Amino acid sequence: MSEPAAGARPPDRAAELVDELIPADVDWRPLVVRYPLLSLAVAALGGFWLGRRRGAAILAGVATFAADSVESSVHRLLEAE
Amino acid sequence: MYPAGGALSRPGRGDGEVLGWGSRRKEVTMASKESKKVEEIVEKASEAVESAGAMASETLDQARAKFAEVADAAKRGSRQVLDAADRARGVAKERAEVAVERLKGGYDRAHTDFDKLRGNVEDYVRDNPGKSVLMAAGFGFLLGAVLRRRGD
Repeated sequence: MSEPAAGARPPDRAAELVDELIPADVDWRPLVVRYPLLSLAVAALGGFWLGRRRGAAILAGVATFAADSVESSVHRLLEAE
Repeated sequence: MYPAGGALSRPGRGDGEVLGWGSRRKEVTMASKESKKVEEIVEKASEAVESAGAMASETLDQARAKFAEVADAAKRGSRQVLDAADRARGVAKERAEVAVERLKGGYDRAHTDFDKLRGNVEDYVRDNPGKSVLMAAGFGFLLGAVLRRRGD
């Protein structure tokens, strides 16, 4: 991975994550720049809908992922010793 | 009313009975006394009527004076009430104007503050689009999850 040029902005990891979540043919950045408040409202509504529909499952998945990550990290540390 | 010839006949007695001059004089004296009494009574009655009239007139004058006083007092009172009402109306109008001015100032300030906040938010979102969208989605997600749990 190449280093960013001097004066250039660092890569926006949040934007990259949004790029992965949103279909590639949707150019969301100009829309957000043009309608900032409306974009926030749409995002909040989408998150609300997701939380109502799949909130428990997603939270359980996130918790499992976090637990696995912690467990593997501890395992690696113990193996290294 | 004496019959001719100086004879006086009394009712209830016999037709042939005739009174003498002594009796007639006594009757005349009694009549004049009674007439004097009647005159005295009439005089006293007229005095009483005059006195009552004077009293009534005096009472009427007093009543008129009192009525005039009461009417003056009522006029003064109504004028004072009207003046007080005018003053109260002026004060209420002044206070209402001050309250409206304050309300207008507060509304303008709130409007300005809201515009400023909205501008700041828009600037932040334009500078950090991905982070802003993710934060909004995360906030909505948490709100939806919490509300769903409460609903269950």
